[in-house]
Amino acid sequence: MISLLIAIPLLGAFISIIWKKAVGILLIITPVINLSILAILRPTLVEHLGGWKAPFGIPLVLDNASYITLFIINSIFLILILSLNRDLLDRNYETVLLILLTSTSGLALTGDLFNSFVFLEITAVSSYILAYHNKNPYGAYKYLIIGSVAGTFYLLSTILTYVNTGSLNMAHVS
Amino acid sequence: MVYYISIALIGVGIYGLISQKNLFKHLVSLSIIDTGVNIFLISIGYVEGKEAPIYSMFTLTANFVDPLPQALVLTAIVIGIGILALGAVLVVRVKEKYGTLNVEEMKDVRR
Repeated sequence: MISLLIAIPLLGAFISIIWKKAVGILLIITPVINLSILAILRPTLVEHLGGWKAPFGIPLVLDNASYITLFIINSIFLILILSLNRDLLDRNYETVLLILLTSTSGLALTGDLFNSFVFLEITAVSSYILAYHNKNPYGAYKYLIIGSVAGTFYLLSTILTYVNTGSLNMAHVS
Repeated sequence: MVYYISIALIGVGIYGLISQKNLFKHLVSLSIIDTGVNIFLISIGYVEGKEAPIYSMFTLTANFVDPLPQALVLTAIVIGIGILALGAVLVVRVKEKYGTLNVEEMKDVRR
């Protein structure tokens, strides 16, 4: 049930490539579905992806902090879509916006350090594409260089944590 | 010994990122930093005299190196290739717009 919060925006991103005419409805309907799922769930739930337990698999954790974070993310996305300037939609940014919603939800939900690195990189790549503008490609290029060097050092610190503690799970490390 | 190689590669990449003026050399430096970090990750999991982590009928006792850093490096290589491709696209756009890749020769650019 928790993984639907990540899976539904990703499905919406794939549909927005195939079915161009439904994009306006899709961008509104996806955070509404996410908010209604959040209204059903209650905090402190743990879901093990694929049935693998914690030291081997990747858990998704919905505690109080990530519940509030997900609520804020989906509300801001809904407000942004409703008050959006229309020429941003004319530049075909819907798929990137939906992938940005996917990766920020995953970044709030995940319980694994390396999985948080993967979601961080997806967030970074989609924000490079959002920062790219035809009048100033050099600014987006500088952002890409600085952001990916920072992501590389995040990976380095992740493996140093694994060496010192022997696990990548956030609960086990702490 | 392998640690020194990876630390030297990361240092070379950061030096190239700071000192070079060509935008394409920034991408090359970024790739060098990625390679250095990946070599460091692989050398973390390596144990002297152990075998590759493949379970078969000939390996009755688990005499393996640590397979987790290898899985991490596989994912990190794929992410690095994706970022490199996006950076190449942006370099092409910069060349189309300004006509040069040297930072100092660009005109009308907001630094």
